[in-house]
Amino acid sequence: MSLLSPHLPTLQMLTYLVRRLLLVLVVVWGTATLAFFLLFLSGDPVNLLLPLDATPEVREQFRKANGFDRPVWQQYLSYMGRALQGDLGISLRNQTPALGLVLERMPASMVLAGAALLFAVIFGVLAGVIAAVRKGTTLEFVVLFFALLGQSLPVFWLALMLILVFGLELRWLPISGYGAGPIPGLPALANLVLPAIAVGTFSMAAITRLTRGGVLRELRSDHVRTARAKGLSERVIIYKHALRNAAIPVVTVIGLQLGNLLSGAVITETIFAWPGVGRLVLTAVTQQDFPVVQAAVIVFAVLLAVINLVVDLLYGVLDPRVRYA
Amino acid sequence: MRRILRTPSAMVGISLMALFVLMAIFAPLISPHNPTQQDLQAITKPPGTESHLLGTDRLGRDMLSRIFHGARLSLVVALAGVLIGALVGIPLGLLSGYLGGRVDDFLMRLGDIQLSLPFILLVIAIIAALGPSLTNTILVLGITSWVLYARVVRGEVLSLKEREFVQAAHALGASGRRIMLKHLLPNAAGPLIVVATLELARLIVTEAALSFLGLSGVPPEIPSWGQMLADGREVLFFGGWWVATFPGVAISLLVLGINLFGDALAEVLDPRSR
Amino acid sequence: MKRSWIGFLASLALFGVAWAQRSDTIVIAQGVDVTVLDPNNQLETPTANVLANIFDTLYMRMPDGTARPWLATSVRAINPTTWEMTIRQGVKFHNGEDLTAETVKWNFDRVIDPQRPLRISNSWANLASVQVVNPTTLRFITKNPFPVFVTRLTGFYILPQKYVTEGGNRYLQEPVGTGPYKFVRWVRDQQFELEANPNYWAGAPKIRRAIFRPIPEASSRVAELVSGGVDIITNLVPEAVNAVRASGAAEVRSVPSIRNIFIMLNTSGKADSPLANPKVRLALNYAVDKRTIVKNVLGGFGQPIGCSLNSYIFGYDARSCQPYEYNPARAKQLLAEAGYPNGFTMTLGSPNGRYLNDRQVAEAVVGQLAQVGVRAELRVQEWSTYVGQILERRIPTDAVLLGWGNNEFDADNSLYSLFYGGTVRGGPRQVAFSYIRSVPLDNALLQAQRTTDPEQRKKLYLDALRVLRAESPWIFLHQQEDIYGVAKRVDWKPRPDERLFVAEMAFK
Repeated sequence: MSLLSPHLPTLQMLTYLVRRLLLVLVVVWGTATLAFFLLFLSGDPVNLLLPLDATPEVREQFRKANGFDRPVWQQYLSYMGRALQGDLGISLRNQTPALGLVLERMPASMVLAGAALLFAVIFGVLAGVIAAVRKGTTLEFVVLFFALLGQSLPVFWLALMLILVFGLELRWLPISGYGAGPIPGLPALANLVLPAIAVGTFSMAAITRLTRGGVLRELRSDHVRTARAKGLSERVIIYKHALRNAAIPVVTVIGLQLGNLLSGAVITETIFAWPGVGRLVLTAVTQQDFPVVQAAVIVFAVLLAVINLVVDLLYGVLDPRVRYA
Repeated sequence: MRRILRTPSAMVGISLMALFVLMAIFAPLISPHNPTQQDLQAITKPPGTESHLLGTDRLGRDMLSRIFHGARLSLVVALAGVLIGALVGIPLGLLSGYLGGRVDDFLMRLGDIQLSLPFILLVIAIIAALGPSLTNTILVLGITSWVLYARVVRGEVLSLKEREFVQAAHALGASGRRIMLKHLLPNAAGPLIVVATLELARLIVTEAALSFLGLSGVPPEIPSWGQMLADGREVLFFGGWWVATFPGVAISLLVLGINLFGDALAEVLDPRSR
Repeated sequence: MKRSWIGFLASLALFGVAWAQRSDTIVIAQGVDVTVLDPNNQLETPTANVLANIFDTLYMRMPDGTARPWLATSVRAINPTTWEMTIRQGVKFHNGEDLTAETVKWNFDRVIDPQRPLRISNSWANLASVQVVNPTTLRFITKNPFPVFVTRLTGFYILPQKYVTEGGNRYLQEPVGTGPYKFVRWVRDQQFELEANPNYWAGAPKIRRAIFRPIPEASSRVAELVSGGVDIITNLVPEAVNAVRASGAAEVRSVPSIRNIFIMLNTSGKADSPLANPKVRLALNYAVDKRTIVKNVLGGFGQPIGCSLNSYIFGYDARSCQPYEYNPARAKQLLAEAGYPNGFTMTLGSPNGRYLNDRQVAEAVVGQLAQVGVRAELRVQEWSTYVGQILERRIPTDAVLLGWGNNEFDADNSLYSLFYGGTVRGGPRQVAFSYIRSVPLDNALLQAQRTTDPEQRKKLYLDALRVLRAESPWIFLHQQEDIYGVAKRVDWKPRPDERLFVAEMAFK
């Protein structure tokens, strides 16, 4: 890599892109394998794939028909084969393809995660900047305190408290449900507020602290001092220099936070009666609808791997100092 | 070091932690009631009812006593999880860093894959396959948290590998393992403690979440904050807000304390992470 | 510029919130969503509650427990193994297809097809074949006498033959029936929409539109009811009753359920287990204070009972079903007589949220058993694991808390299914829930299943009940009372079979 001329960034970028895509494939393959072996954790996979009132005869039939009596490596290959064609099994409870169910619910979870991310980034960065700029004042202390609090409150408890206060007592916002947004398929804005806040608070707190740290570092740095010496206004310094450079770690964190956000969504969707994948998975787990659990794990892995790839590339764009090695 | 630990936030953190640890240790002594004693004549009574400072739960059990005893379960499960995570993660990190090459690649990729999944989904899927039981829960929580410990240790190994005195020691013929253990672990101790502290907080919340969802397998006769939250869910808005609120507050305060303490520790032990 | 944006956003928000309350729509919230849209291939009550508005049955269960001709106009037994049925004329499915005897035959053929069994096929194992006599008459040939035939028809839905056989899988996405409501739309996990069928053969229903919303969080369901977002909620928790009554927006309406709650004692394979001794089982029944449990844990909703039947069910006998008295002293005495003066340990399984306060009831029982020296360790499980273990007779605990809702309102469903022990051969295979082996019991149950004379059957069930009283195979607890939260504007009385027929509802 170091032999390549610095005047050929495109080749470097392409190689990097290819390597990262390969990584995505590895991640997906790894998760599919994990999902496959999950079936065997409890012993007999047939137990997890058939309804509980299935008779022994039905079980034998199912076992033969689906090749569970063949050696494990053969089963693995046929499982992967089916998975590549998009067949991830049939939901026991709903009698429809598991992959279809998961994909159908993805948009709702994505909307929630996206809104939570927006909330986390906008308010997190704002709070972080305020805390950095007003270092040493009570305002900073208050912001930091709430940031810490935000990272300490269990997300499901926060969700319940939010509903209690804003939905029930104050009646400002709906108690549950998706609502009907301006475009069919989108939730009503009012219904999105509380879930987004509940899911996004932890990330917002993390971003607050990160931004504050980043901005503080930048404000002490050489080129900001130069900018000050040049006489630029404080506001310009903050927005143009400090923030832009502090944004880099925030962008990296976004990739990490996505896992967190989706975790939060999984737990809180049920509380908000939100029709997302999280609620689907929880219902599937309690109903022993294992194909759905498998499908969800795989879909999430693919999604997160792709998003992390995108974030990585963005990171590269933002910070030209990054080497693609 | 002492200076940093004397800051107000660190003091608050230590106090909160100490409060809950003492609460857990002395629970039987300080509880006004037996936490598992039902009183069907006094179910779901509000805080301030005679002899029940925080009220009673849906079977008439004293909330205050259950909060005290619940601290035990939360701390024990989280500590066990942290220990298992460290026991699994540290050797893996050592292996990864020292051996390098394929092993390192594989382990780090595995870690990436694991970190890239929503943690709770992974845990739920495994528990769904295994069946909920307290042992399973602790094992799953512990084993799936190996990554952070491994990464810290691996980082230390890599940085120290290059350092001269290791190479010098090698030249003198000291065995590889002895070098590792003698030099690397003490250096890694600081960051590891910080990671362990933050993981403790995370596992407390995760166990509570699993109990809340009914997947943690904690036996009903053991008071558990997460279980209390689940119990109080149905009456949270109407009939008994205290049943779920007090455990929630307890968890939040304990985690807050650990986070404050962890932050102060990080200043001292692992300034690079700031 | 800024102001118009705010206005736009505000109206978006309001638009979102405004969908809830419309004067021609009733909104009903259950805890879970519909699963499968084939009413004869699923066994879950919440799904049946929705689908029963789209599909009709041949006979309809009335709130008082009797079965009234519905899509069938009459049924009579022409000999012990043959029934003749006439079908109502002029009934059309929502898509215009006609209901004929052929349609009905096809529906039954579908259920008894050994190659592709449906979830309800077990209940129709006694049906040998169905013949069409003329376009409005059918004959049913059964393998053995089938006295519960008519009552069992109340759970059998009629699907449109052509639509199902020629439409591929469309019937599983857009269900079509003959019922008072037509399918409009199903947005999974959000809402299931129905609209009135103006051409319904029994007269158009009063409410124009119905929406079923699955809201998993019990507290949220109550909150929605109280704030006017929802009109009916099921399974209201007793602790929330006062708040609902005080809210002014809704009322609490309850009805004694068809469902009994009990603790099944597992004595299988353990001959020296304390539970194998009838004295011990009797002692356990004396040790539980059912009245206190109903009063305190269930808020007074429920009725202690001493058998697995209740007054709705044909075959019920008040004397044999009197609740066992609460007598801990006598319990201890019996335990001592049986050889357990210091009690013993056992394990008790319980579901969590399947029945009203089931877990709390189990925990209360544990507490009471402890008073007589029986130390019971409680294991709470998710419902599907739980029921699977029970159905497969692989129960890991010594006892399990269970409920039994008998939709046939006939003792055969409650007694045969639950207690037939196979000591006398000839009975259809059942997954018996009791581990009692008693020849007189099995004789009585089998004969009652095959006799068509009601008086004779009553007598046989009385015999069976007497055996059960002597054996005390379970800890009998109570008859459940179903608690509903209903908006004041809704004119509706809850039914004992948990059904939510929108056609029975109206706005005041």
